[in-house]
Amino acid sequence: MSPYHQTNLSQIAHTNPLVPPVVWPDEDIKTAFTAYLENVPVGNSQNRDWELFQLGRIAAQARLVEDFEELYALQHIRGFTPLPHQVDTARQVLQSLHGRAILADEVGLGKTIEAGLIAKEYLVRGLAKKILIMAPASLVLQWTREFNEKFGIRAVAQKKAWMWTQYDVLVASLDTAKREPHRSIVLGMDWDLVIVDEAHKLKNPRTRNWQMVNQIPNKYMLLLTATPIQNQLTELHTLITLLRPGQLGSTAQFVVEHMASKREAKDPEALRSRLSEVMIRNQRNDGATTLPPRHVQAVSLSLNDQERTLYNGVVQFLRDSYEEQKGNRISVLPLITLQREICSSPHAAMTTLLKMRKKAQSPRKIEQIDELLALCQNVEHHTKIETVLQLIEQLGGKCIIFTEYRATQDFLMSMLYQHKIPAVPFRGGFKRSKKDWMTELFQRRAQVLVATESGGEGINLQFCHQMINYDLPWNPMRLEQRIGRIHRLGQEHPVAVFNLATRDTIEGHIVTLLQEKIRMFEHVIGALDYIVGDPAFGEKMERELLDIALTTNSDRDLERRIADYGERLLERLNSGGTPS
Amino acid sequence: MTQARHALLMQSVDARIEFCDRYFTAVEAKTRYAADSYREYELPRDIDKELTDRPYYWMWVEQTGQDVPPTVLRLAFDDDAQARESTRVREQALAEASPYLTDIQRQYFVAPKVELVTLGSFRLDKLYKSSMERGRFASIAPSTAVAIGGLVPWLMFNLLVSYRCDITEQTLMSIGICLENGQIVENFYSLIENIEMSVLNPHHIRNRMQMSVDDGFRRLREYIERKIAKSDHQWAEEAEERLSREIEQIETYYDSIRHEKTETDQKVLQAECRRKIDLAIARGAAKVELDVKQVALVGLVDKGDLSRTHTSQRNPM
Repeated sequence: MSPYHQTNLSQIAHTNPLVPPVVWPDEDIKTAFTAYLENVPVGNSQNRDWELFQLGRIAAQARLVEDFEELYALQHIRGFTPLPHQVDTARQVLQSLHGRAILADEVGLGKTIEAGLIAKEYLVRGLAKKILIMAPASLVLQWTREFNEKFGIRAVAQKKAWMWTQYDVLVASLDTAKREPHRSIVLGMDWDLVIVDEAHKLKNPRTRNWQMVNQIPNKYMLLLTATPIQNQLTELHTLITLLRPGQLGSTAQFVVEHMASKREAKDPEALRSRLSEVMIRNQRNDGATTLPPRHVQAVSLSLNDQERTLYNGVVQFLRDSYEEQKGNRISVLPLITLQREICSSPHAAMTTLLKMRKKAQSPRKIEQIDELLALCQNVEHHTKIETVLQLIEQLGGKCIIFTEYRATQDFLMSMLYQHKIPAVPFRGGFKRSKKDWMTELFQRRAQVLVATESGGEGINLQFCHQMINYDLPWNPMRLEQRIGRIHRLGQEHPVAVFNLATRDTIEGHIVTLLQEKIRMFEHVIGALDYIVGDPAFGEKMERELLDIALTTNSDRDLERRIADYGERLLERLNSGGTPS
Repeated sequence: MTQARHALLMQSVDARIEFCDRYFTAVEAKTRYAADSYREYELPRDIDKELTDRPYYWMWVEQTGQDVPPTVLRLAFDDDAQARESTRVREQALAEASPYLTDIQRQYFVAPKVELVTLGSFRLDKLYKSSMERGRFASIAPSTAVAIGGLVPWLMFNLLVSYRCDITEQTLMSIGICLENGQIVENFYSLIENIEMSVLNPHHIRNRMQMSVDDGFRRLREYIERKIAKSDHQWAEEAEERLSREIEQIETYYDSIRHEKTETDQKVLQAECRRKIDLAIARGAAKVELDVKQVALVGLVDKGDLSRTHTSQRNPM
């Protein structure tokens, strides 16, 4: 503890009243120097004081902090070249936002890279030492790995309470950090930089998450989210309060001044200009991040007689069951599943039918299910697979086929095998190393990748630019994630997306709804991701569509009702209301 | 704010190697092995403590009276060297240990680590700190003149000037005062840095000191403060404006949500508001920090006015 010697210079310099306070942090140096002079090692020709003095001067110079014109971090990254928008973002955060910012790039534009550049720059310049990264538990290791591998930052995944004080750069999950004993330790430390990933989890100031982050002492803070607004503009206000309380006024003022409705800003230009002081958002359709175009095409097909009989049978069964269960508060989840599975393949539907059979109470039900199972097995020719095989042949080149269901995936794999088309499977359940291996195989050996999920972060499939949606998730965000696997930075070709749409089934109508009505595919996340980024919305939409599907008798009615639904949805999206 | 913008030192691999070589020689660490962009240094105990950051280990060593072998630092200065030397070190260590290992032990054999020294790396940072600590003071005179006597005493400060607000800019300043006649010379260090120096016995120049070291300290401080006071402080004014706007925002914000809360909550809120303001001030208040990093007593040959001498050196006419 050195006593602070402070001089008020305005007394000295009457000419210049603006002089800030001047501080001499090390008052003791005079005493220390006097003591040194008493003990100068006279006569020691080996004395190295002058050499060390010179080295000390070099060290002091090397540690000087200068402005952020040049990013020294760029000299220390390994194995990749950051994109121009990432470097610009880092520089802007360092220069103009002074290290307190929301990084709100769209999915896939590299927020982690931006945060890494900023962290590295502060580290290199000696402006930050203690760095805390809070990410969802599932991403902790990934952050740790990226910081170490790409930026050479010695980041450690926090596992034990003692680690908080032993390491300088820690990656932890917010869920862990907010629990004792961690909470008190984290709040008791002075952090130079705090990074919160998936910061949209902080949209409610009454939650423990938000309160925790709000209390962490910090010098610089980065909040990362692709969806700074999911439901309401006020969520943005809540995030900004963590960085700069009052930047947009109080909540009430914000509502009055900036909001026309829950979703719509009064004066978007004015809001944007205020926001630019705390938030940076790169979007795909910005010039800097131009992606090749995507072409989305519906491939229309008609069921053959056997398939039609099965489809109608299942739909009738679903309507009956739905009617029965509506009153009983029995979960309709299996029904949703079955409805969607039957759109995918008979194989997928069979798994749920078998489960239902086990649980079925009445003999009549069992009989019904058995009939359906028999119909499943009756199907000899599968229209979808035939269409896909033709498509693959026409396309040539590599192609990803997405399906929601394991059973469909297995079926596809075996059909592709029979037709001697080299294919590899891909599932969410695969370990990281297996995912990498499959990706490698796909790139080098196979023509087709059959995937049940979008593959997760860090899987790069940009070398492929064609995909087929064998069945559709009814949740628009999931669909976007699928496309995002190949339509992302690094993609050099126009991306072709084929949606299989079976005529006169609910699937056909949903393709129309997503593709033509709400123009899901054209938005390229853009405006829509604010709204559909909310998982609750996707589930709701799924349920509503099912309700329509199961309470409608004729296909023409179905078409009309889904069209109406799309109309209302669109209206609400445009007016900024809740898509309920 | 200072406009000085010089390239960051130590940016090149060569500069870092040279720094390390000089440092470890100066602290009497043995260089055990040297290769392209790679060095192995054996650390004396005191340096070991300064560089390796393991207080508990030393506590254990000293309390149990252990005789531990000296630490060897294996420093690679680029990626290639790290890869190359890691392999070499591993093979060598394994070969040496192999006769004593079981198969299982061999499988899990952990070789000594080769670390990469880059800007911003932990080790380089420690080296900086150590050399700044050990290179704080000097008492010197040109080797050619130290025995002759009749030297003029100068006191030199190397100080770090930090202009701090929500942004920080720093500059190194060197300034010297002649303890005989009170003349003050800026950029003092650049005038003497290339001279070969030897240790100067302070008592040998006492007779020419018209002013004490204490007086020298005071005069230098006053001079620096006056100089700072006279410089342009537009930056500080702007910083204060930003800060007061931020504080106002924070206050308005907490005022506006106060009425929704119970009395207890209000207290909590008030404390939180205070804390946020304190953090904002700590982050954003303008101040100038004058940190004297190095002090030296320098005996120089009496050639009259130093700055004139220097000028004539620069412009030989």
